[in-house]
Amino acid sequence: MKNIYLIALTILLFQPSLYGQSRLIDRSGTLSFYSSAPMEDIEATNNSALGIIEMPSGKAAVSILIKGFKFEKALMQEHFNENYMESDKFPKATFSGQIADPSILSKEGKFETEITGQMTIHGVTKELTMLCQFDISGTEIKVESKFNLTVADYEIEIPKLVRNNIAKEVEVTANFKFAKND
Amino acid sequence: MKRILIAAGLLVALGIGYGIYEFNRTGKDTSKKAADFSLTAESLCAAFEADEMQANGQYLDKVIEVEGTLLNQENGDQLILTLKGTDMVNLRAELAADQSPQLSAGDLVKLKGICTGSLLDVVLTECVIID
Repeated sequence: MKNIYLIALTILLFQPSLYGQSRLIDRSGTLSFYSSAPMEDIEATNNSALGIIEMPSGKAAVSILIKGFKFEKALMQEHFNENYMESDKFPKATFSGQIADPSILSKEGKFETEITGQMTIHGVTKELTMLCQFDISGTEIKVESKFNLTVADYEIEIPKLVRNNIAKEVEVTANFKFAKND
Repeated sequence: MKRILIAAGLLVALGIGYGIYEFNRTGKDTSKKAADFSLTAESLCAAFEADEMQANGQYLDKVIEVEGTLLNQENGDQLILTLKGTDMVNLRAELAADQSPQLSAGDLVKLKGICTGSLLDVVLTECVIID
């Protein structure tokens, strides 16, 4: 079933540009997560995150394929997809939000502002606010953010047997680079 | 009794060995896997453009061999090739770490990789160049 935020993302992508609006797209965003637990740290990276910023309104959207996360160990990757994220059923995670201070997009320099929006993971949507660092030059906008997600918020069930080996919170790091002339 | 103990010991050792192998097994080596599907990049992208849910059901997690024209390549943490698909959807191929082909835009490229789904483009990971 199509999720309302996927529809919102599609609308954001394909609607005709409003007067004075343009969209910056990065197809090669990097999104990684790290979880520290007593037995073993778990880390995975996805190098094909899709990011969109609408200028100058500051609407932002991210979409990512769950099966695109790469782990060091294949068994972890299989458990992540099959047992926890159910990625056949929920192949994408999406975020759709608003940059708190979109006026920075028309400036050059380093800025810090929040983005607030709706995060959908594992078919569950929650409001999320993340602090983002913007590095803006004449040709590109780099965005970096680090934030924590609580696994239980998204109804991801961890079997009792391995519960002590999986942290209740994971640290997510996101990096995007938008070319201004796209 | 002694034979039973030896057999049980062997089974336990085998079990532990298999457990250690499974625990430490690294990512999929696509070069050693036979392709589940072989088609053009355009056909694969057209399938996702026509019905993403159906295409997911058919191609997700499968090893797919595709042939298509190289549009561009990005060299960041890993080499990523974009092959021409349809007018709306292209194919994004993330190459495996050991792949470093010398290619130019316009080249006809044949590769196989594992399908992870579709965002704006259809994505294949762990890709290896064929030929």
